[in-house]
Parts: sequence; structure tokens; C-alpha cells
Amino acid sequence: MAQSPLADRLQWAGSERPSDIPDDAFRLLVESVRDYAIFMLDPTGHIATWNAGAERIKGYRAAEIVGKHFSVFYPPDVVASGKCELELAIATEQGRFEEEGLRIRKDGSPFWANVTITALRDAQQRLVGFAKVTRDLSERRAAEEETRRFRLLVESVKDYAIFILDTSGHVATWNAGAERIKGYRALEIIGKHFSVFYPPDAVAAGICETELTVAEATGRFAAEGTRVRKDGSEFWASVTITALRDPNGELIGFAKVTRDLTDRLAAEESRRDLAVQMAALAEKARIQEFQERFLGILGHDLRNPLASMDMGAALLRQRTEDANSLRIIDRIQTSSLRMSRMIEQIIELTRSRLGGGLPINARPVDLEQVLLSMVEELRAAYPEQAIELSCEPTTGHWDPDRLEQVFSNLVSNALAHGDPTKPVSIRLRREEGAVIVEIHNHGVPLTEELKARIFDPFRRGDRDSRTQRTAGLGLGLYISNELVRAHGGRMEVESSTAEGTVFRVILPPEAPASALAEAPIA
Amino acid sequence: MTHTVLVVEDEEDLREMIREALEMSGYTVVTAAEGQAALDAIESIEHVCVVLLDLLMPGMNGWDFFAELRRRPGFKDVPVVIHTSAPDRAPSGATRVIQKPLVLARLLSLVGEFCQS
Repeated sequence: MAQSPLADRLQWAGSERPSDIPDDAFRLLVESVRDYAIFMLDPTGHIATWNAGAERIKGYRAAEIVGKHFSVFYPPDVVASGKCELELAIATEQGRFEEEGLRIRKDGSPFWANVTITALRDAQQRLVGFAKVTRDLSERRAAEEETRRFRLLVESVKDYAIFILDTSGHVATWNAGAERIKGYRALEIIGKHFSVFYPPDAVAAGICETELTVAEATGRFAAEGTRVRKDGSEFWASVTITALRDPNGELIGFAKVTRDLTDRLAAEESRRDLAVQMAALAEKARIQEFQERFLGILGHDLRNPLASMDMGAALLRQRTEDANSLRIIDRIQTSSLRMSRMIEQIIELTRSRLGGGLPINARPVDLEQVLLSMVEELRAAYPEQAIELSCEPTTGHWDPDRLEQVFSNLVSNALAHGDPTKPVSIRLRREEGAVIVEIHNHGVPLTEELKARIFDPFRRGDRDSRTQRTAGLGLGLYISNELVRAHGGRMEVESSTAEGTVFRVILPPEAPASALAEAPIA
Repeated sequence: MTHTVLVVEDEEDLREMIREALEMSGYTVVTAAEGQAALDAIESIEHVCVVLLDLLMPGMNGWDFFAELRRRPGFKDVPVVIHTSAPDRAPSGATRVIQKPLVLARLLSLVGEFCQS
């Protein structure tokens, strides 16, 4: 290390050099400092001493730099501007010059430096040179730059609210995302407690304290939940709170990142809806398939053996005159006919329950004519019973076969359950916007209990054991009611000891178009 | 000339009952349980006066049988009576479509229209 001719002449500011410290000690101290380049310039700016820090920072060894002008540390254009002379002049004038600026290493690479030049004077105040201390700020500058960029990044993020809470939960920073998502501007929210982002009941439940406590204890708190915007509207948010600690582990605050999940939630909901719809469609298809198979079994597989039984009985009838055999054949054919009707009813029930209701084929109908032909048939079937019919001429748009089925069912019931000594009467009349057919019989009235469930399927009208033999499945009135409903109409029943029983069919003048759906195939 | 009724029906009891009924009434009857067997049989019958055809059958169904029969020369005009539980789905061009269940009187009157016993 080169000896400084100036060293011994240095004056110590404010005090005498402590006598018990050897002269050499200070030189050794300076020479060993590695974090600072500390060296001396003579009054003309030539380098007089060099230390370990100078070698580390600037890259020159002492032997190659001592005696050179300190301008070698400056970019050429700076040197050309006369800055080196200016710095020395300022230091000479004011005792000290300090700045931060670019300097050049031996290898030509620039670095950011903090530079101090101090004028050194002897006891007679003569300028003996300059002490130059240079500190490499590259790392600090890089860290500052990184911080600046990071801050810019955070501030410009729009999809996330990113901000810092102090240790007590008050908002300390704010970014563009936070403004967009929560609606507050930085000025109006910084300093406020973060509980303003929560619904009041959540705040009352202590959720804010819980979140900070969890974040402090475990480092992090994450959840999804309802948050409140400045305008009071709520949104579904994903929230992360991270504890911020200094290098000593001391809590200095919390980073809070909030994401508005409303869009994601809506997308998830529509996905879920879609899945539900698809499941419903699949279920519908499954029911449809079951229905068609079931109706196929009823319509085809059960009817066929019945048809062969009936045909067999009919064949036997042709081949015998024996009264006992004929009675047995009667039984077989009556039973197979009943069975056939019950199968028909089960098909109707299945269509009305599993399908979209009973199908009707509406067309222009003279209702009086329908009732007349039906009554004619029933009079032939029940010659001993009186059937009275009174009609206003009435035409409309209905399914005549289905209506005949309904009225035939109602009149047959009236004949079977009513007082056989008194007539069953049928009355057709028109009212404003409706056509009404009433079927009336005298006799024992319906019980309230039976009346309440008169149109339920599989109901047994068990008040009259005489009719048990001809009773079906208890589906006749259910199917009639369904057929009237398919026409857009309804049925009513009234029953009393004095007045007897009235079934009333109320139809619109035209069956609605929606009732014209095709029948499922049996 | 012998007049033969071809009965195509998969349900054995019903098929045999129809045969009984028709044979008792003096007709000649050939039966088949499904369409392909019926196509095979019909070629060897001297004169078919009517085909009584079910639609829903395992193997070749009634629709395919009917279409194939109409494609074959010599069978374009053979009367085909379809008896089915789904009359609205019967193929167009059938001579007659009747709803199951088939009752004896209806069967005999129908066959009587097309055949001599």
C-alpha cells in the first residue's frame, strides 16, 4: 500500500488526534474498509492513496491507479463538461462536495455511486488535497427500482384489489383494482378500517378480527364470501390476507388481495343450471322410454293373450249347445271383456300420469248428437231404467269420441249407483263462454269422504257392494276428469239426500290447441 | 285353386287360435312367427288371398315385411290386413288396418271379404 505523504499532516476535525492510538492505526483502518472506496487526491485531483474498498468497487489495484487523475472514474462526456474541476472547486470552496451519479469501473462498466469529496487542510489552512469516499449504490438503486416497478405493477392491476392494511386493519395503500372492485378512491378509503368492506352482520360477528388473527397466527387467511361495495351493493369475493413481517419477524401489517368472483359465480351457476337441465332431460327421456315400454306391454303383450282367450271362447260357443258350457263360456268372455277394459284404463292412466296428459283430437262437434247416440246405446243396454235427456242445440270444437267416453262413464255410474226406480237425467245447456252438461241421479248420496277423492285414481266407490262385481279399477272418473281437463274444462260434483247426485262437466266452446298433442304409442 | 290365408303373428297362442278359427271355417292357413319366415313361406304358397299381419314382432317386423312384400313381383296386389295395437303407426298402403284386440266375428268377416272357404 502506498504511503500517503499527507497522512501525517491531517488535521482531525474538532479534536486532537488521540495520543494513545498509533498513527498507523488509522491508515490500517481505512485501508481495510471494503464497503467504501476511500482514497486521497492531491490538490490537482491526482490519486494519492488507495484502499481495499476502492479496489473492490472500481477494479483498479493501487499500483496502477495511484498518480492518475480521478477523472478516469467518470464517463468521458462528463469529463469533457469540466465536472471534475467543478467538484474540486466546490469542495475547495465549501469544504465538501456530495452527489449521487454514474461512475465507471476499470472494465468500463458503469455503476451508481454516492460520492463525497472533502477538502483536506493543514494547520495553516493550506489545501493539501481531498479525501474522496465513494459508495457503490447499484444494489440499493436496483432494489429501489424494483420497488418502484412493483409498486407501479400493483397500482395498475385492475382485476384484483391489492392493498395493505396496518396492523390494526386500517387501509394503508390502494390500487386501481381496489378502486374498480370496491368503488372507493384512494383518498376516501386510506385510513379507514377494512370492516367497511363487509356486510354489517359479518362485522358484528367479529369476522374482521378473526381474519386478522388467523393471518397473524398462521401467516395467511383465505376465504370466499360476500363483500360490500361503496354503493352498498354486495358481491361474491375471494379474499386472501397475508401477514407482512419485517426482517426481525415483527408484524408490520397485512397484504389483502380481493378478487370479484361474481362473473365466475354466474358462470358456475349457469354451468350448474345446464347440468340440472341435462339431468332433467335425461330423466324425461328415461321416463319416456319406460312409458313407451310400459304402454307396449299393456297394449300388446297383455292384450294378445286376452284376445286369444276371447277368440277361443267364441270358437267353443260355436261348437256347443250345452247350457252349462255356454254359461262357462259367458263367464270367460265377460271376464276377458272386463280385463280388456281395465287394460284400456291402465293405458289411459299411464298416458295421463307419465305422458303429457291424455291426447284429444278436437274437431267440430254437434254435442247434442253425441249425447243422443250415447243415450240410445245405454237405453238398449239398460232397458229397464229411464234416461231423460234435455238439450239446447250446441256445437263446438272438441273430441267427440272422448266426450262420449266421459258422458257414457258418468251416465253408467248414475245408472249403476242411483235409485233404479227413478230416472237418470242428462241436461245440456250453454252459458256465457261455457257449455255445461249435468248428469243427475237420485238415491243414496256420496259421503263427504268419497266426494273429496272422487276423481282420484284407484279409488274404490265401496258404498255399494252390489256393484262390486262390475267395478273396475276405480279409474273411470279419474280418466273422465283427465279428459275434461284435456279439453280445457273441469268437473264438479254435488251430492245430497234431498237433491241426489249431480256430476257437472264444464267445457270451453273450443278445446285449447295445446291439448291436440299426439298420443304416445301403445 | 286353393285360397290360403297367411297369418303373421309372433304370439303363439293367438296365432294358433286364429288358425283354429279360420280352419274351422274352411280356410287353408299358413302361419309365420315373424317377417322373414313369412317371406320364405309366401313364395311356396299357390295363391294367397289375404295376409293377416302383426307389426310388433321380434326378427323382421311387420313394417319391413310389408315393404319387402310390395317390392316382390307377384305380391304387389296381395291384400294385407294389419292388426295392431298401434293403428296410427301402420304403414300406408295397407289394404286394411284393424285395432287389436281381434275378436272372432271381426276376423271371420274380414277374411270372408278376401277369401273363399
